[in-house]
Amino acid sequence: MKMPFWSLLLVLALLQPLAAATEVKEEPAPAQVMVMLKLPAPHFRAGDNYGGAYRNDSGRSARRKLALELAQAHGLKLVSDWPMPLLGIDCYVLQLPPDQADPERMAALLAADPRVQWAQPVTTYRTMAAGDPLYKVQPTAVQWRLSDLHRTATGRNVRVAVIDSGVDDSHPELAGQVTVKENFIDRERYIGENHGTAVAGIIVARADNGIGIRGVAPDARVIALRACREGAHGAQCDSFSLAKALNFAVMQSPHVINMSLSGPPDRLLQKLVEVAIARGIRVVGAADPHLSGGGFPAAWPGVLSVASDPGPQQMAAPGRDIPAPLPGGRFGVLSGSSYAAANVSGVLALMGELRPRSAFKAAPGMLDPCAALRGVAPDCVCQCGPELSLRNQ
Amino acid sequence: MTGARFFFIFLLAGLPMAAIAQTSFNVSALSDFRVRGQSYSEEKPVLQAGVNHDFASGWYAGGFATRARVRNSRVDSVGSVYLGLARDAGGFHWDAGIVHNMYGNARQYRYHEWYAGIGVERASARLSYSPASLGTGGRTAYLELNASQPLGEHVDASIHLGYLKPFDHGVAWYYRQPARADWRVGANAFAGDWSFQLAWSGTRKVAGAFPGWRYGETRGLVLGATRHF
Repeated sequence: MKMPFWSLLLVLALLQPLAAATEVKEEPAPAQVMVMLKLPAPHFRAGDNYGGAYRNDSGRSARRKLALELAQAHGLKLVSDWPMPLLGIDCYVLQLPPDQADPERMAALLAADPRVQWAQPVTTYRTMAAGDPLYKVQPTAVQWRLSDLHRTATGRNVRVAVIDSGVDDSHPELAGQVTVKENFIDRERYIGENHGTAVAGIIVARADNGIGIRGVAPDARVIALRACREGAHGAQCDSFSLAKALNFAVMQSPHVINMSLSGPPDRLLQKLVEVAIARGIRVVGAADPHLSGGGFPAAWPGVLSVASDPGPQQMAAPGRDIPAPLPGGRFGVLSGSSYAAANVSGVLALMGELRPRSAFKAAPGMLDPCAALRGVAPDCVCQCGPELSLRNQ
Repeated sequence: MTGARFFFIFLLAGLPMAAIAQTSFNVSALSDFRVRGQSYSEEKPVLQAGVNHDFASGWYAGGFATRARVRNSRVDSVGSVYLGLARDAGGFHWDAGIVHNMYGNARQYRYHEWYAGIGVERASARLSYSPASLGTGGRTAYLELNASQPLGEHVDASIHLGYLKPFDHGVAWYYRQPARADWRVGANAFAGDWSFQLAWSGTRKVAGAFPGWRYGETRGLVLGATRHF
């Protein structure tokens, strides 16, 4: 039976609102700025308790009131705050109204207030990962002769801070390997996610437990700091969550901070990275080939920039087809500079066991971890490659 | 109160209007006002108020006042004004300054103390020295250790230990203070502009005689609530 043409039109017309209703529109996240107010050093106050932590000091209410005043004066909304005692500042995040999309201009207006130390937009960063989860053999076991390296060091007494998405420490490969877990994304709780779990597993996956992989430094321990959230487009972080995590990480005094992510330069993050480097902490960043110099933090002086497919002046490490643990007891095979950076963090953890504060300078080309270990432990029995890429000074 | 006048004038003169937002105030209600383990309110509730101003340079100044009640004396209030300098230095912080303590209806007890302290995020130590403690002329030194440990995002535990050492008895033997230790162990909770405390505090003699009300060994529970501005 033929359907009259007008009936077909009616059906199509009725279907159109349904199509519109099921179409999901992604609203862009509102722009935000960070305002830095001076955080005084703790000091004597008559009638007050002494020695309280920075987060709950007596002047916090006054600073918060100032931040509210600044927000109201500029038509903004105060959404979050966090003290950064390493830099002597208290950081407040202010959200711009939907009809204002110029955070740079707003930051400049706020910075002009004499009560403000400085102001900057909240910027977005992405983790450097690509590939689908498949299980394969570890390249580091073959290329780096991991078992030889482990005759000399396994990362004992070394802590590596992983600033990433969440780490699933209930995974059998990570049981007992994570000593600290903290979430720095507002209004969320800590959860295990793919990227963070994989990065942590590459560094410290348990050895000789009869399953899965062996981490580059299986006796090191991870400080798992969730500053990135995983979604449909991969893991994303912003400069506020990263700054909180970096501030926390530095105060834990780890040997290494691994940041397998990349984004634009950020003043707050730069200052925190500088403090970390000044304290002798190795900072490892994953290089983004699409950003100048590899992006931040990889391009920042003093940061070890690592890529799986390096440029002519870049350090490289295995970053293709890397087997790694994933949440829920699973395993996958992953590729990207994120995992190359994690492998380098593992080597730094091995060096940290042998000589905690040894000086070194990274050189372009594929990393030779055996040569690196021999630089700090001359009695290393591992066979070294022909090129010395990570020199010890 | 010449010393107090001096400090208040300095405090007001040093408050640049553009930086008025660096000033913080607080009002507290305590079940018992204790200083170095001793009750200055006969273990009765009191109301207190404090003000503090932090300059951008690291200098700070402030004041504190509270009702008080001390057995066998006419003291009905206690006030303090202080001035100091605090700085962050790498992984630790330090501060040094002077505090002047005053007692309502008992001018003879007013005295000042110099202090210097050092600390990290959750622990600190401070040494105080007075050339004439409680106005009697006896020199004293006081060493205290303080530490706190977060128990959650809004709660922490804190501990304070102090030791007072007198070096002489000043103008009269009957003002001689004993060497004594004091402590305070408790928990603090924070909610927005409010903080709450529950602590066990006390003092005990370590050495020396102690006549009079000021030197008794005491201990007691302290409950408090503070509104910060």
